[in-house]
Amino acid sequence: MKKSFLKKLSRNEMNDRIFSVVGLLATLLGVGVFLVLLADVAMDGLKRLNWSFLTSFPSRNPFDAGILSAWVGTVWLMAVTGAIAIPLGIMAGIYLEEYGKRNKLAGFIEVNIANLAGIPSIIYGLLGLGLFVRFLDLGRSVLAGGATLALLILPIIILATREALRAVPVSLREASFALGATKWQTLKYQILPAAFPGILTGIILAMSRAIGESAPLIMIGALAYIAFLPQQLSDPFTALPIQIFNWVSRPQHEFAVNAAAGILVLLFITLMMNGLAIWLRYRFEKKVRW
Amino acid sequence: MQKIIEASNLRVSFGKTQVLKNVSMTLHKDKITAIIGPSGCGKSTFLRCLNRMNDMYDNFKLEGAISFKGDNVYAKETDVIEMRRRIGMVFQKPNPFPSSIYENVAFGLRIQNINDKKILDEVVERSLKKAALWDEVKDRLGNSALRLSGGQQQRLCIARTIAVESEVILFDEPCSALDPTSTRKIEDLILELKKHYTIIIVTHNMHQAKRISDFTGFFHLGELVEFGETKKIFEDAKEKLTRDYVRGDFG
Repeated sequence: MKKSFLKKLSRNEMNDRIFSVVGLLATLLGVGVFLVLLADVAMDGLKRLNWSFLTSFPSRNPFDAGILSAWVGTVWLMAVTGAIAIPLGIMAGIYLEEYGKRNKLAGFIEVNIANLAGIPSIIYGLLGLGLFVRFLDLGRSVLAGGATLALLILPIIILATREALRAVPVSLREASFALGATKWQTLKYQILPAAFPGILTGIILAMSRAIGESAPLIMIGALAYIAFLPQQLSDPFTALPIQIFNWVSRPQHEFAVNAAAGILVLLFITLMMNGLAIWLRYRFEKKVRW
Repeated sequence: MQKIIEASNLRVSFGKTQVLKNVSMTLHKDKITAIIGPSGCGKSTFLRCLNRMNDMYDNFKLEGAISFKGDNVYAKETDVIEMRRRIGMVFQKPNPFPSSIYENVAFGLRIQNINDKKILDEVVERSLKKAALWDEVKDRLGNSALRLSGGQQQRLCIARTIAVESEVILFDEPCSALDPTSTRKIEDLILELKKHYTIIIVTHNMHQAKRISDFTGFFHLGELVEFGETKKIFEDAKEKLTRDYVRGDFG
């Protein structure tokens, strides 16, 4: 008896060890590929990264070319995208989760939002071209680009908001209702603050996705060569991914170096956004814990 | 003896599952009524019907009537918010808000737009004293309520209910997550509160029902099998089912 008992235990332990090794390898593979890519890009791009690169307009001469219009365009785009998608997404998420009736229509909407989150971005580009650029006659403007990206990330924000609201324990709602709080008071003072870190994470992930998109922007006709900065929402624009794509497709090696430097800037902005999200979440989670 | 809540011919179902079948019960003012019965007998559902906490479930359906001081709780024109303030509730698992001790007690007043610091200070102190918690927390009202022990959290939840001047307090197995010492403190507190509040307590613990309640109702499979003075239920019940249950033959 004792022998077989020992044998079984050691086999389970073996499985345990195998799993932890496989898991570690999987993790290392993901992180490793990213690090190799980053190192490769950094080796090419770092030497090109300087102040004049950040403050120059694109040029035919790769040594004069900079990404000023691209990164300013990206900042404009993100501002427009965020201004449209964040309030709409949060409000839609709150409505669907807290106020909407659970019926067939709600189920239909739910399935569709989940599907929308998985639709290839170039399809959103087509939609943006048809709806914003042509039908609403916004032209190839920052507003059209931002609105297109907002559509793209709206489902992600809605889903994240709903998940975050659902993760708040029922007991918190009950406590608030039992004291005579209205639904809105319960939401405003208890549920939303508790769900805020989750919603915030969803927003930043969505924005991080939007910042790297080039296909929908090319689809609506964003230009690569722009020698001025957008002054208002109706101005044409370019963005970092488009500039990078443009440079990569040039035959001269010097432009590939510029592209690498551009990628570093894009990565830096994305990492900063993620860092901000982590910091904010940490701050709020310290306050809200059960 | 004055009656305060009256449930008549209550039939409750969630979707297709019927949970309460024709329950009628009269609850008396400033008394402790215990509701006992095996798991799944509908006792918690009954309790939660009294302040309409089941309304948050979409498939909840209720027939029959509940009146509180003569007003129909389920009438269309009932102000559910005001009703819930007057019929407070303490839950099975202590559920303080993730904020300070002070704000936990003040929340019920703040949502009524009472924000005067002087009034709040006074109510917080009075409520915590009534809940026998003041001495333990008076020096750290600004600390997170989540760092209190389970028993202290439960007393904080009671203080929170007292602060909004509830008349009835519904307890849904308030001690099932607590150790014996904390349980004792809550029981003493409930006995003390009886002077000014009507208390209805669902409990799994028959000794608890026996120790603290004036009346006891025994639920089984969604029906109120027997209701009467606690002494009578435990020593001289009419129904065989009740006698078997209080003796511990099943449950």
